[in-house]
Amino acid sequence: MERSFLRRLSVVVALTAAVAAWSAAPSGAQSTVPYHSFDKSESAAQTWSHGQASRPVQPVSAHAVPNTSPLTGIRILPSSVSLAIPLMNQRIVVEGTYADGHVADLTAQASIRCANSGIAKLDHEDFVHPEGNGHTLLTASFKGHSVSAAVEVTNFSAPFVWSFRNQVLPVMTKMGCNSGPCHGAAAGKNGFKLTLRGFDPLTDYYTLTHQAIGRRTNRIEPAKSLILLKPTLTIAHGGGQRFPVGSPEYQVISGWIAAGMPPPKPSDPRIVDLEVYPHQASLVPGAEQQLVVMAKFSDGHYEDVTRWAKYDSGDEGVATVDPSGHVTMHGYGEAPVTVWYLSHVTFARMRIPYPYQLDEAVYQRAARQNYIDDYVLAHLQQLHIPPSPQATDAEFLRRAYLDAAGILPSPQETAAFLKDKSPDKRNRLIDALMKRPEFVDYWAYQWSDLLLVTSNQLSYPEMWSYYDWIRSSVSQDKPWNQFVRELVTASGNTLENGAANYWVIHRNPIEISENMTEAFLGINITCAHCHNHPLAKWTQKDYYGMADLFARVRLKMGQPAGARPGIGPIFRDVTVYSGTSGQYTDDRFSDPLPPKPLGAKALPLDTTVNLRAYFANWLTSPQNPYFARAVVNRVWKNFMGEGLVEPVDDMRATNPPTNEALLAAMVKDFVAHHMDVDYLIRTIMQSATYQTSSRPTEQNIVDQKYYSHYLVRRLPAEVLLDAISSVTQEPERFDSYPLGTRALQLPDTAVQSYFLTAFGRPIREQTQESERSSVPTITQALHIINGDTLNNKLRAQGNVLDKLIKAGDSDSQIVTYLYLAAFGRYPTDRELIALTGHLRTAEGVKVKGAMNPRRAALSDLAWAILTSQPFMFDH
Amino acid sequence: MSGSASGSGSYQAVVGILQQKCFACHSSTAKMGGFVMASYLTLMKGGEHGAEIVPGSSAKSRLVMMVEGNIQPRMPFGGNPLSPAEISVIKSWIDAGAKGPAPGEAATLQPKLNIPDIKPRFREVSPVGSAAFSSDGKTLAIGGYKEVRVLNPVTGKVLEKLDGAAGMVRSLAFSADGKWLAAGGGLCQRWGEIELWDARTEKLVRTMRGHNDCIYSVAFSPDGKLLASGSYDKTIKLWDPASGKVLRTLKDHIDAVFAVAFSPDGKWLASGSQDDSVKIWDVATGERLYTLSDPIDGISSIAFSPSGKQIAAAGYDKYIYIWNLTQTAGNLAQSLIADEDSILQIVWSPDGKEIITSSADGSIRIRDASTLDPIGIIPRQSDWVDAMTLSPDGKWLVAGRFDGTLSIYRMSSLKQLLGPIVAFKPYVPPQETAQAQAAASELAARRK
Repeated sequence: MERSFLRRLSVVVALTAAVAAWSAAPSGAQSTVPYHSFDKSESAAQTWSHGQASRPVQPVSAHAVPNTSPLTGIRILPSSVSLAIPLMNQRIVVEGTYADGHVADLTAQASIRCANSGIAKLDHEDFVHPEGNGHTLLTASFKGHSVSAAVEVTNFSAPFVWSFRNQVLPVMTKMGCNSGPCHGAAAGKNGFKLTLRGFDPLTDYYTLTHQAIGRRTNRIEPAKSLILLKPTLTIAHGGGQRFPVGSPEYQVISGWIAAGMPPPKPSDPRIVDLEVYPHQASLVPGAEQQLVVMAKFSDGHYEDVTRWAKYDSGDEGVATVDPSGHVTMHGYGEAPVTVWYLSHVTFARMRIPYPYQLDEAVYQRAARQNYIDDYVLAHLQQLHIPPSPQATDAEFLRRAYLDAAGILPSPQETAAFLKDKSPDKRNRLIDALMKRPEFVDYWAYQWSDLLLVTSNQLSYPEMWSYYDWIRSSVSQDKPWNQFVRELVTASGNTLENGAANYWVIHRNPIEISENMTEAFLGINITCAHCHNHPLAKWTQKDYYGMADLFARVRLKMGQPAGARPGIGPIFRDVTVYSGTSGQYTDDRFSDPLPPKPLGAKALPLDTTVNLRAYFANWLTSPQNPYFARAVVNRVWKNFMGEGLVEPVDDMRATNPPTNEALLAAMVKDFVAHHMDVDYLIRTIMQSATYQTSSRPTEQNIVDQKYYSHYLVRRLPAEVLLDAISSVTQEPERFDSYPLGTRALQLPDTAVQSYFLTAFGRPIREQTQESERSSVPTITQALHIINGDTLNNKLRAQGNVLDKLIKAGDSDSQIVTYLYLAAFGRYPTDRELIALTGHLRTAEGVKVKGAMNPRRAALSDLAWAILTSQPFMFDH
Repeated sequence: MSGSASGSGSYQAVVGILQQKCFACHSSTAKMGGFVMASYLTLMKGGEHGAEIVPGSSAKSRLVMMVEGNIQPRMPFGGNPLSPAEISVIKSWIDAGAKGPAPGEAATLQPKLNIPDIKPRFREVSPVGSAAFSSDGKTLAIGGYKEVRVLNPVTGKVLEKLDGAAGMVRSLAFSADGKWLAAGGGLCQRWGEIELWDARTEKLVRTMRGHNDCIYSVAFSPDGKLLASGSYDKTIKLWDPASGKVLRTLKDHIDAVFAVAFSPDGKWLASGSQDDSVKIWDVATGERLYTLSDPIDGISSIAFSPSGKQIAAAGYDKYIYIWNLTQTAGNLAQSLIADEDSILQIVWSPDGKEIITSSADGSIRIRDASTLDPIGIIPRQSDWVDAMTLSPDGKWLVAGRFDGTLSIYRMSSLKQLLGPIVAFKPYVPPQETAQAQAAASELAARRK
């Protein structure tokens, strides 16, 4: 075959072109690059495949589409003003609403008056200032519309002192003083070290007031304090000017110093909520919108913290935000604008709906199977993105097999399904699929990735015992909380209780705690190993307190079972048990920290409670805000190609889901159904959203994250290899596994396979989704085009082609068979005519030294099919 | 710039402009373009492009060409250009010969700060930043904000008020012969200064300025011929107190020097720094003999044993370290996590038997110097004890606190003999209303 390769190239190209014709239209818009791609350079270099870097959001020039929708009303944000703290003002925004649902910030154009200027006044920057105790009314009017907001001023002349915890520190945080590159660095800056983003107010208080004999503040001559002289650049400051003398920032810090620098106290009111106005808004291109941010405190008072909150846009192509909370809209789509204040996070969802005039009926007529579709369609409607039509039966069938069980439907199954006329055949297929052993193989494999099953860490019997426990849990449809609880509390002999091996592969409490939070909560706490988490609220104390929960786990090693490179000796017959005492200590802390799950109550150091059971109760509780959410998002991603939160193991508060309402509803449903994973899978698969066509429409082609159409992606390594084996009917050989074992049946990723490695099989060393790579590489391209895996299977005697030839099938029958086997559909008449025509021509070309010309031509056909995008991709 | 002392075209006036507009990038730490304006010397030396100032010719001075925009990029880089008035001040100074500071005027002289006059709203009293007994034990000097007071340690009566310090007096030292009292301080991030007083007449002998930051520790050599100062600017200086001249500058620490001490025989100088180390120096040569690098965080205080064979140090990492010293090396003899928070001061008793520490955890602890076993504790200090010293006979322990209070304890019983007294005169807001007083007492309550 090699010698004939060049001469046949033209034939192959013709065949490939015919096969690929199917996907020509939609292919350009699809992406196999994850939304949060860490290495864009690597993926962008590859264009051989379906993959293409995410299409940038279409920018729109300002006022590209003149909006003529009539104004229907105006409102004041916030709807009432309560000024309970002297020296504090309230920013207000006048928001206009229009008939088509969009809003606009009319503050600058509207006329705004305060009825009683003895109580409150409005300045030219739209801040309401208190002037005296009492009630008054703020009235805004614009183009015949008018609206009022009640204003209440209290405590006007009460003595007031700025709070270190609630005002001084947030100002310093906003000014960047305690940011990572500045004094928040682990080593500080020029001998001055603050806690990162002010997470430890008491430590910062002493650093600022006491340390180095009161170096940084001067309570007798406040203006001579170093923390005022330097950031105002009155004297040299490496960090430049952060704020000028006399600014509001200067007033807060100097005011606090002049009041004798009262320290943070345990009785200080604490922030309990953060609200942003508008919470969500549809705006027109080029629009600007001021946000107003209110912090609610435990004593019930509110503060306008707009000036000192920190802002970040989740998609700068859609919206940018400046440090004062002023948003400018650029491109179509939706951007979550993150608002951060005093460790609390909230979002304003700012969007420009796509410029399509879509009839309400588009959404009313759209297919709906369950509540998932309601949430997805509501969101699409806000964005003016139409959903694609439903996938054909053939498309649905192939997708369902691949996503739920990692296999292709056989030609017989496809034929039968396509022939079936009953209306509930899709739901019946889903139920049938979920009863198949391949479904169990597939999900056992998924959870084995998550739980790091590998003989690199375990002896072979132990690895099997671990895998068997997972597989049997999947086959019993064990509720997720029970599954995880069994793992977390596993004790005993590792050969008898497979789950106990989880405690063997993690060799210290730190590893356990990091991997467990990542796997089951979607939270990465590794940052807090060395410093407090910069993007989440986790501190080093949280980190080590959590590790302390696992300090009492003991292993009794059985017999040595060899050694593994990089790991050291491994053992078989290990016994896992819980000791009654023991603490994890770290050099950073002179005393061990009490055991404490993240964000939960700490136990006393000398507790005799079974710590793993305590942790399991907390972890798997329906009240745990992260547990169900993490697995729902993982399962959703399996079917939809894109998690509601990406990456799925980074579900921190500052990384919001694209559709919070949908995720919350699915979590609620999952918990109400006792965390039944099969139920979750069925619900997702039955939704019209899952069954949407992968062909984008002209109007939803830009959408990669709102589920208007099914996202095309390359088959995972194991699925792809199994698919090639199943179509060619040439099973892959894996060392020391019986012939016929599919890649997805391997319990272990340490099994040698060039193909699987090249296509991104994870090594199961760390609980990280990114261990599995879906990034296209040159190695993959070369291996598919001219590597051993495919060529050997096509060359092998007795493969599918030999069988079909032997059965006396015609070219037309063979093409049809291969189409059913590889693509899960019949060829169209045009394809059939074109391909049989090409085959006839090729079969007439005699190649010296080559095999029988028909066999060679059919091999080329199969090669073209198996290297085509419709085969290698899930769509 | 305003003010008549620093008239147009004077060095001070020029420094005033450079300070405000240029120092952010041309400080001794930022050093952009290799050009440091921190002192007259470096200002005249220039940077990567050679001299920036040609005395007598502003037209040929690169600095002028750059601020006028005749050489790009225009300076200040990225900032607003200097005003014509400011440029003319610089030009006239250069044209008049670019003269340096007058004799006696510090080379790093800095102008008055352009800041608002903010007064404390409530009563405030200076922290007690330093304390030292005279060698006869009859008087106790304490340092506070812009002031040193000399007290009778028995009655607490103020014997003398010594004004003149620019800022907080962070360290005090009497010479062994009782001749001098040195008060170390200065202004943070600006300069260090030492007021040298005649301890008998209480007259100011001289003010010695040096360092680029304030001084945290001063110590006399046992023979009184040398005065050492350690500064936040990372350097140590050895001064001749008789002339006020700097004899040596010791540069090896990479962070603030919080403590200096001479060995009892005067041969070694020890320094403790925020760079997590203690260094031992040869006083005669100025050579660094070795570095004791066991600490894992900054050192705030050090103390030689009376024998001079050991040194103790403590700081942010809560440990007490004791090393045995030789001419060539120091070996860690003991270390112990001694307190629950940073250690502020460490003192070795004159009889060598006890080590006393004050800590941010609010305690003063007395330990057996040979075992570091606890002997006694004076708990619940009302604020950080930044000033701690023993009387020369070892019988009295003085604790001066950040809240401005001072107590004297009897070492034998740990009973308080005197205090707590408010050591300095409080600042009282001019129109202290009943309301402000109420707020003040509320604040005082909160602080506890």
